[in-house]
Amino acid sequence: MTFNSLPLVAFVVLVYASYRLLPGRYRNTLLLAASYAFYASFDWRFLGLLLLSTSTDYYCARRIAALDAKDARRRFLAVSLVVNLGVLGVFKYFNFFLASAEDVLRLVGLDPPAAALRLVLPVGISFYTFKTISYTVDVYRKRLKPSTRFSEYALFVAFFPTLVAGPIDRAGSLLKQIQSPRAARWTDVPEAFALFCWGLFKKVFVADNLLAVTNAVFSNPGPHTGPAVVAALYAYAFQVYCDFSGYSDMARGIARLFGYEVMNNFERPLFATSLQDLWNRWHISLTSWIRDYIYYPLALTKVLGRRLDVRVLTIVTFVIMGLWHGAAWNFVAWGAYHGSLLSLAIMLKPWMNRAAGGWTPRMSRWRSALKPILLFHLFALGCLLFRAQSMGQVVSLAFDLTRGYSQLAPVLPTIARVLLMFLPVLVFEYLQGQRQKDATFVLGYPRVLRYAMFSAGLYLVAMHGAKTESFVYFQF
Amino acid sequence: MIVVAEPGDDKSVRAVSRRTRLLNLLLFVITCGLILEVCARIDDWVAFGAPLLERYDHSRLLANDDDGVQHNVPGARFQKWRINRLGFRGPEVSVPKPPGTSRIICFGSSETFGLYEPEGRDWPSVLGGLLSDAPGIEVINSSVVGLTGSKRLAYFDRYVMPAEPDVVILYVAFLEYPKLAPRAREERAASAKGAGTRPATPRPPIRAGAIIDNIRVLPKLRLAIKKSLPPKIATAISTEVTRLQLRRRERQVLGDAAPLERVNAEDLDAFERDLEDSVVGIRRRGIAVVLTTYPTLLNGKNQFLYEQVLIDFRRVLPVLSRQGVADAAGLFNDRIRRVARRLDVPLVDNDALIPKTTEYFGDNVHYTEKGAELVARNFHRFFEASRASAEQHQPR
Repeated sequence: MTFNSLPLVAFVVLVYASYRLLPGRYRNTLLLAASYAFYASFDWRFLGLLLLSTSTDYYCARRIAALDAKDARRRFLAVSLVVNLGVLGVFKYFNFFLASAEDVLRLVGLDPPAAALRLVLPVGISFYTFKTISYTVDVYRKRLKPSTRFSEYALFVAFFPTLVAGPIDRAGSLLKQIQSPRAARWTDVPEAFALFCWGLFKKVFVADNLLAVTNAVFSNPGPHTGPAVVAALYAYAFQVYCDFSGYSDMARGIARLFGYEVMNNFERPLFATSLQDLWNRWHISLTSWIRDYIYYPLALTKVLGRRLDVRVLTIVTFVIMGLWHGAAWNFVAWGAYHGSLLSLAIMLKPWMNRAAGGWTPRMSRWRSALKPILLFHLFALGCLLFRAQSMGQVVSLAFDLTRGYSQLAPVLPTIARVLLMFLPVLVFEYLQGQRQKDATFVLGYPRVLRYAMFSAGLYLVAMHGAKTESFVYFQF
Repeated sequence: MIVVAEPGDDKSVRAVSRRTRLLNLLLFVITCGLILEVCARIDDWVAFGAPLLERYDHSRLLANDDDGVQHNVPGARFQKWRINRLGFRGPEVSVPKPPGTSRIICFGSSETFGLYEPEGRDWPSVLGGLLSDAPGIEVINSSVVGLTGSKRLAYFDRYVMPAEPDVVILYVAFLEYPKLAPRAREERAASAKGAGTRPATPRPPIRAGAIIDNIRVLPKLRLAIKKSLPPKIATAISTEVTRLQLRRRERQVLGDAAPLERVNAEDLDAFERDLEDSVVGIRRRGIAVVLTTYPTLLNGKNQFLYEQVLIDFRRVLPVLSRQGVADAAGLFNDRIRRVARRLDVPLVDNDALIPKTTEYFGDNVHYTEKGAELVARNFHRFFEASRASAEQHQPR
């Protein structure tokens, strides 16, 4: 039951109707049951893992809060981390590390027996594991009081709008909302509707239609011409953004319907003015998680009496972020690529600032205008690593990228189509930026205009939307 | 009722807010409806060059002569269907025929005209492609949707003869033939009289219905919803809706009479007579005829496998019962075989050559792209064999 399907709409309507009819004290229970039913619709067998993770962290957090001794507290934190990372490691990384070890052994002339576990990656495991880890760590750091009701904590972990692909909301925000009494208000409905519809438009009309352009290169053996690879990279950059931000908006919309405020995962990243700014706007819940639970602790750690260099630290955290996305070397390379870019930007910043001091206002205006375009191209180039199925494909496509530009003309219509497809998103986000709000800014428009925008969007989704069963980030 | 809100008057404030909400809802429905319709029209205009304001449906393709002969409108276009200047589906045809050219005319109804196949994939087009290696052979699709047996020769003379055909593939449908038995027809007429109702006459279209027919977004939305539903649910809903429509059709056509378990012999005879007249008539004009049986998806064996197809087809032929529908094709095809034998007309037995599955059939009688390709290949094999045999018998 994915967000872009009619059964999901029917499910949400049913749950919402029951939610409104039930007295307040039963609403969390209803949402918990609905969340488990939603998760079971993907594969009921993985409910066990979800429950294991939930009960472990619920218990460990309560024990940590109850204890004063640092060692004892640490022991329970370790139990939580071992269970969570262990499950994640087995299901997501075991085969990757095994295959990598086999490759290394083969390199040194040994012939290891082929071994692999036949495991299916449970949907949303990376998302809810990070959620539960952050909860236990926050309790350990005494920033949060543990939940005293299992059902509340279980709902925080399994809250169905954010369960399978985030945003990775923190307990400080979502759990507190779950614990406090809430009224389902009619006034939330238009906002929820606006967010959901905008997300659906991005997913079904933009992302799913761009899939064909992306697949034409990435799912076909080459060789391809440089312009064809460029078109595929543009398409994938827009596709992955619209797919994931579309999902996040839909998740926020559904959560809003039930009176919950879920964090905004994307803050118009295509309007970023620097690489740092880009990563402050892209998949915010993950980047802020990595910053708070990996980057800062590592920055405070001394190795051989010295703190880690900020540039090395940046690369390391980005590599971890790459690995979070998937157990494959291309994701490691993707993390290293973005980490290196960011380190380079940090290194060059003083020099750039000095150089910019001597620029005329006209040159500065040009610089401001060209920056997002440059950033987009750097990001799109990174998509080569992100989308490729193997490092072999990365190398072959990188080679393809450098040649065949005499055959630009046949690919130009495709590139134009990709840009045209994305244009509504760009215009919408520009207008959104003017109002400094999320997609709900449209509610400030006159009714007739709002309804007209909705109808035109609905038409494009229903008639020209391509239908794919899944979201890009479901695989993570 | 107009309620004026006064400060502190909770009830009136609530009434006003309820009214406002209702007005908002009305505004929402009207705006959405209008914009969706505008979008649908722009969409048709961009995709097919459809007029923005005129009525746009399949009736644009068809017209009737003064004497009731149905034909395609030359130069007409509706969605993927394009009619050339001679009134045939497909590319333009030069008249007079260039010297050294032989023309094969595919002469049938909707199954030959093409319904589910993409543009250029109807079986006559595919056959044209397959025969393109033979020099000077042109294949033309001269089919007309809903052409009746009684008007076949009139249409042929008026519209097909100008194309100077050499061979005609005659693909004859039987859907117009099964009728109620004479006694049942009489009973139906009597019951209509007894109830004080007038015999059925064509009713003028209801205005509201005509307006709804002109709304272009509705069929598009219906299709979009059907596509987004899980296939099982979509099929179940669609089957139930079709069943309701069938009941209504049965009431209209049958009244109290029961549907026929088997096609009447007199209807089969009428079909055979019309077919024979057509073959003889075409031959008399110096044109060779090739016949084909009329393949259908349903038969006595698989009727329970394709429930929805059966109900849907019974809407077209409500006079036949489930068993009657399942057996009909077999009975009519036997008559086609008999005519072919009697008049010594070459026959391509497509009914026997096409597997009875939805891979080949989009409904009971229309082909999928794959089905159309198989039909074309069957004819291609026939023409190749004829050519080989002609070459063998040529004096050296």
